[in-house]
Amino acid sequence: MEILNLAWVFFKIGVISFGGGWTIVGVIQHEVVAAGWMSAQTFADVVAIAQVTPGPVALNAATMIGFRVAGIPGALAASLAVVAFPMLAVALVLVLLRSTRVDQKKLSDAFRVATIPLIAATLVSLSITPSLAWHVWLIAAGSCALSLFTKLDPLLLILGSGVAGAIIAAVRL
Amino acid sequence: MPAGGSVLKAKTFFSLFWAFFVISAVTIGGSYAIVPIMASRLARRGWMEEQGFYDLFALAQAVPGPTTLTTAVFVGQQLLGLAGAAAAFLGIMLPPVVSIILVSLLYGAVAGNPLVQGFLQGSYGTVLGLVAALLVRMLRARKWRIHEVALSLLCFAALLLFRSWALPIVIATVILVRLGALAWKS
Repeated sequence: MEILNLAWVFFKIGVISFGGGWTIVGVIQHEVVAAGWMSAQTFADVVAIAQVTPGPVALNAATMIGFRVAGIPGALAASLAVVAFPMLAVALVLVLLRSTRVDQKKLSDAFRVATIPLIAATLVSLSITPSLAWHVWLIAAGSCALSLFTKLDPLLLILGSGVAGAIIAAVRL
Repeated sequence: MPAGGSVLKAKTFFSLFWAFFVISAVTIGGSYAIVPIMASRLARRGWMEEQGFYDLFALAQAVPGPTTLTTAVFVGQQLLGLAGAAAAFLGIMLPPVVSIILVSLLYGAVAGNPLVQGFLQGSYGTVLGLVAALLVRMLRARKWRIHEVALSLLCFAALLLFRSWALPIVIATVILVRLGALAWKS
């Protein structure tokens, strides 16, 4: 059953989705390409689309991949699966907070240490697997610098670079 | 949950659902864009003070999953119990899931268009740049201890070598970091 497999893969991804979506995009890419659901090139499109539509990037990617694999039922299965474990964790925290004062801070600090290598691994997978044109690298370096040294809205950067990419494509036609 | 503070607008399942639905639908760009908007809207409705909101936001970051979603569910639960949590969940989830299904239908039709491809490639470049910037910020924000640096590097190498084992690798790293912190103290 492709839908069960889809749900299982995204449930597992939900378990390690600490510290925001970017930690797990690399893992999603690996799982999805390994399952033969999509090429790394198409996954790059999914990532770009997930970033310019409302919603958390990991959830958007799950919905879109689920849709490609098994239509609307697939989209719903993958979306619910990726948030299933987080919702269990929320319920658990609420129960724990009611009974005892747990020192969550130390555990979440340990998770933060693991988040950093996950983001680094995401960056590596996203950079090496699809073949990228030279101007994509330039845009990447430029927006990294702009994000670090200015207060420009990231959404403006994403849309601006999209328009720049479309113009470059038009010139090449 | 006893009502605290001034209640300007009735807290019902539907009013909560609608508040989160609107926030989720109009905000693009991840939790760091959406969370301040959520804070100010909740405060303006008189539902929750900003300080109380940011306490819940901090709690949400200790839980896996999209921070926007987990923050909203904590807020919903505090405002209206289980019904509030359900309203927040549906309000946050519906806009992205529906819009992604619509975009997916559209994608099939326009994916071959060179201008669309150009746009997506350009945006993808910025995504890479933003992830790199996020990484730099996180590296700088932390006061690193030696065992944490070593474990991070080890975890990174293991993630690259054994891509299918991300879950056990991350859990092992968290346990080792915790043990390392305990050993450090004694």
